[in-house]
Amino acid sequence: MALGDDLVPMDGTPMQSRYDPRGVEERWQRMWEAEGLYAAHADDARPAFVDAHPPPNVTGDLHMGHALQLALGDAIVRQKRMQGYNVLFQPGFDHAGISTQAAVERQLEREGTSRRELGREAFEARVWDWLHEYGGRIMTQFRRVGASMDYRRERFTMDEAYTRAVMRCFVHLYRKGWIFHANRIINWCPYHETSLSDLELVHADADDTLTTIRYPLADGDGHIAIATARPATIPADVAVAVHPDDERHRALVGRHAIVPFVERAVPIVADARVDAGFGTGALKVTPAHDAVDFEIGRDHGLPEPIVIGPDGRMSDAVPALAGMTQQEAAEAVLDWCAARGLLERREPIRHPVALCERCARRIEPLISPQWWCSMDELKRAAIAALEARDVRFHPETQHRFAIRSLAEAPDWCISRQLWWGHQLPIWTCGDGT
Amino acid sequence: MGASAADLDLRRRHLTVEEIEPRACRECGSADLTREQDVLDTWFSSALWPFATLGWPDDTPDLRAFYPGDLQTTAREIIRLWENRMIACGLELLGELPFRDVIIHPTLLARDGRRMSKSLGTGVDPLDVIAEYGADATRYGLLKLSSSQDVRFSTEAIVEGRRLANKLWNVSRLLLQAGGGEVEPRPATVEERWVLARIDATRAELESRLAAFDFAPAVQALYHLTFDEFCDWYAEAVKPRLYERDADAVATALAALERLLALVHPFMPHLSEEIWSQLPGRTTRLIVARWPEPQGEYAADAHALDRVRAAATVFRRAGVAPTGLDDDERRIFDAVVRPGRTPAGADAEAERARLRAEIARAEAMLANDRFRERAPAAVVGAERDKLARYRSELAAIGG
Repeated sequence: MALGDDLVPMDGTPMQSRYDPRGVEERWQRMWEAEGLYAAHADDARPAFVDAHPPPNVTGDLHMGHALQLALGDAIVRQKRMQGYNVLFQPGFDHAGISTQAAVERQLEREGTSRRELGREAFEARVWDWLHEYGGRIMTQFRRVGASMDYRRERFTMDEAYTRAVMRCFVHLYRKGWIFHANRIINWCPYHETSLSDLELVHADADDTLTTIRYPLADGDGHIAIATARPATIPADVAVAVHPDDERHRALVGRHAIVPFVERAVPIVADARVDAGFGTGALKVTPAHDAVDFEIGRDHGLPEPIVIGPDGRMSDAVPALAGMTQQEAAEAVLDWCAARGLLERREPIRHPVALCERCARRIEPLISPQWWCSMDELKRAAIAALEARDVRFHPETQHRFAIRSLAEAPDWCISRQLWWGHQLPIWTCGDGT
Repeated sequence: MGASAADLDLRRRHLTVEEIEPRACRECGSADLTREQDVLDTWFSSALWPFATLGWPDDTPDLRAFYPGDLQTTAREIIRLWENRMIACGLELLGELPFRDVIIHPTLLARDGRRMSKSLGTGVDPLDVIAEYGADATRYGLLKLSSSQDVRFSTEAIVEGRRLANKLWNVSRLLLQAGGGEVEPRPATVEERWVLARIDATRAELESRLAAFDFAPAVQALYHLTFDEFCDWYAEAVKPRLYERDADAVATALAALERLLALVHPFMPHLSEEIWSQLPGRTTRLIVARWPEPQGEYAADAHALDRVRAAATVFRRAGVAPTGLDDDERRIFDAVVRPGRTPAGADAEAERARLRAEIARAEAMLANDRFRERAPAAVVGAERDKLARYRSELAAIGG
């Protein structure tokens, strides 16, 4: 393109004796953009080269990972632009459900109110206000790296047009029969009161107490001892499981044991998922509050009583414990056991626990009704494309990981108990519920 | 997976699923409808990014022009959550892959190996780094660090980027201050043909490195070309003719600089554009200038300076003056090394003996089958390079 009169610096302007990027870089960033040199046009006849850059969180600030990602992507697209391609380097933001909602909730808290006090509609309006004021700062920071994106095309995953795409996709997948509603175990944050994906967790070592408790056999003398770090969940036990190869307990499989406190007879089952090396080798099975136990429970057709509520406190399923914290409930259960000579041993244990990335509180594995998307059909064509190398991950080790992770992809929990995001396009009727 | 008793209750409900709010229940016609309260996982909308940004589900000119796309860059912990789902949704909804290549970039760790995190206090704010060193140096440094999957952040690579920027700036001033008005390769000397050949060889290397998404070797090649070859050898050798305002030398120098800047641009865009704007007769910006075409006519001279460079190495190390250089090599040696300013008087015979011993040692190693078969390829390669270097150094001092 021809240069205008405002061209600086040009022939004849003395070059400073020492190079100082300050000012120079910002000047070029403004000029490239103002002169339309970052722009991509649909009617350009040259071949296109497109990098739909990962949208950062609308509430986020630039971190070193973003800077690296931009340096890589921009090096490629700048070379392609020079090689004559019609380059589209796509900018935009992700609405980042939980972190945006949390940021606005913090502000409401400072104002002495809450989202529940405001109600859903008013809260959503507040989020938009907040975003107009504070959101999207990161696109200015992308510009400062020199990322040659077509900033006129900034997109946001909550835009009206984008939302239409989300709804179309949802209805499409639903009509295919791949989206369904089911009670399964999920990661639950008792503070944010929502399900979380594995990526929204952090893992840390915690110091706890491992308690060995005797479960009396229902038929005849003797007992089977289990070890647990969570005695508060004992009232939700529905079985005791042992490893099928564990000689110590083999004779007990098929018999029944009495769960302390609730005094319920439950079966002793054999299951290869039990770690025979942990504790006594006998596992209390609590399907509603542990992911492995949930799987064991489903495979053995066991019930799934829930004793912990969405707020992390004891639910009223066990009236004697209703409303207690888990700590209080654990003490009540252990006192009950001690009084009956069932408390065998208490010892310190350091073990990994999952925490909510945002509030650092412990995650509750909880059975809850959520919406799921089956990946069984959806992933088939993707795996084939990867295996045919029609799409390639670099380096090669990551290509193999992508294939493996797709092959293993479980059903996808697509629902969140938040207010900020795309509300599910599902309506139920008064008559049908 | 089996269903629980509670699931059976869920299945009894009447569900109406529509893109826009329905008026009545699909199953019983009831107008008493309530929308589900839950929202979708953020990654649900992310999965549509490559085409929802282009106007899908409408059939827009943008969608036709820019879908399917080409490239994605992301971190490995996002593969399951995002990349896989974009691929699956693109194929399911549009019938075509959203992109062809996915670069999985390293995870940047803090200097002590912990993850970078604001709350741990281990994060480094890239805007601070950019403010101190510039975006170009930061970009250079990050690319230099990107060679493996887990990288500890360090500012050394960024400092190296700043050094490169300064060096390129200074050599550009030297060439531009010669005041030429033409930008055209008219090489009259071996060092001019040589630098044009080196630039072209680096162009080819950058193309293949970028095609393989191998960024660290790419910026290293650029550093080597700019620092060692362009600045330390070519510019020093041609300097006397620039001072004489030799029109051919100046035009050639600016043509070489023009090509070098084009190669630098994808990595250090601002600096290269700034210098480019100082070249005479600019009618375009570098950002939209043509990437250099292959320039094979100087390839025969790609190694023309090997001997004089070996001579310089020996001279700088041991003070031994070269023998057997031809006139051009002697002129280049004098211009670049300026031997008069370095105290001589070294023991040439001792240096020759030392190099012969090194050559014998390297030859013996490379003759050893066990070494060649068992040592890593890079170690064997390095030994071969050393042997070649010793031989050319010995040749340069008449051994």
